[in-house]
Amino acid sequence: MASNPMDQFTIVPIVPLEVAGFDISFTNSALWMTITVVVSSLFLLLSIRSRGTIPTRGQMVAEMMYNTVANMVRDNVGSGGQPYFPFIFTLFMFVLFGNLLGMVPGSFTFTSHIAVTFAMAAIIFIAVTVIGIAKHGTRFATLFFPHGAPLWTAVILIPIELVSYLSRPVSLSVRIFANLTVGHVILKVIAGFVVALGVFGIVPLAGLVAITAFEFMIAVIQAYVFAILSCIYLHDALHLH
Amino acid sequence: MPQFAQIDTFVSQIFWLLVTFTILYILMSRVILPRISETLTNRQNKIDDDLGKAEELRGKAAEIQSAYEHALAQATETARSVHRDAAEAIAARSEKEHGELAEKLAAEAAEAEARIDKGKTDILTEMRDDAVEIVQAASGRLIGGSVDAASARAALDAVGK
Repeated sequence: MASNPMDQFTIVPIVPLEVAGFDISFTNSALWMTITVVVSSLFLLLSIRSRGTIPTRGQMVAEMMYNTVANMVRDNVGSGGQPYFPFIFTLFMFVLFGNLLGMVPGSFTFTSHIAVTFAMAAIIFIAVTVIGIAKHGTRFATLFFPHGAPLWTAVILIPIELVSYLSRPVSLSVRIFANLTVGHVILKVIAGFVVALGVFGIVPLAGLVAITAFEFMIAVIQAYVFAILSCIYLHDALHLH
Repeated sequence: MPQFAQIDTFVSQIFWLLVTFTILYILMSRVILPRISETLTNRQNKIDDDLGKAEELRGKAAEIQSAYEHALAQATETARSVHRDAAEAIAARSEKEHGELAEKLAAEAAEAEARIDKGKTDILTEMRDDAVEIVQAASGRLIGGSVDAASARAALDAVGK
């Protein structure tokens, strides 16, 4: 294990690859994305294998995840949200399993990289904007001016709303990136204390156990928040506030 | 921080993100989600079906119950009327027989009375005749004369009054 708590985030190429001048090497990040896809798909496929009317334990978990996201889409996107359910579900599972697999010792957490989280946030942002404009045309601009406000306030409100709208992908991506990065750094730093303190390392070790549990909670919450904010943005695009 | 230091890896990260995410999206939307939703729909259908069946059976049970109660009420009514008819018939026959017996007894009693009366009259007549004879004989001995039967009878009648 590296002693520098930042080393766990280093991207290491596994299979160097270059296409049209772009470096698209298969790295440890790509490996864990692949593992995430395989594990989340296999988990769901195996747990719903029996397709029983009376569900098995695994099936209960899979159906719970399905219902959680289905309710999230129904409550936050509202009418017309059904076509986006598979996307939101995929997003939730991808981030959730990415976060959780990142808790495996020695693994790599791709969701702790701003490049990945910002790419996801940007795709959601662009998609939501395109959907909004395609659905409402120029009326989409009313998203930046609250209905019923006095006209003269437009001078203040429109820049504020515009900034808040444009900052969405930034806040969405930085939130998860920062949470995951800081969590893993803290784990690594305190783990360093355990080793350094020898016998008395039992004290930080106890703390480490608690923080590990806390990080599992963060992993789930951040996945949930990421998916639910995507739903809310989608709602704005579909219904304009 | 490698997140900001390794800018040369951004293209690779985003490329593999798109590849893996697309694969997962296709797997989810084509295979996994339809299966889960099918299972959930089937379960809901089964539950609705069973509830419908239960409702139907309950209706049938209520029907049978009401038919049973109806039949029971009818049977009770029939039994009651049979009982009443029988009781009436018995009462009528008993009254009739009672009357006949009373009539017969009354006739017999009247006949017996007539017979007793006749016997009594006969005996009284006989006794009177004997008394007349006794009077005649006694007066013959006492006064030494003979008293005829008519005088004796008149004297007896006067005493008997």
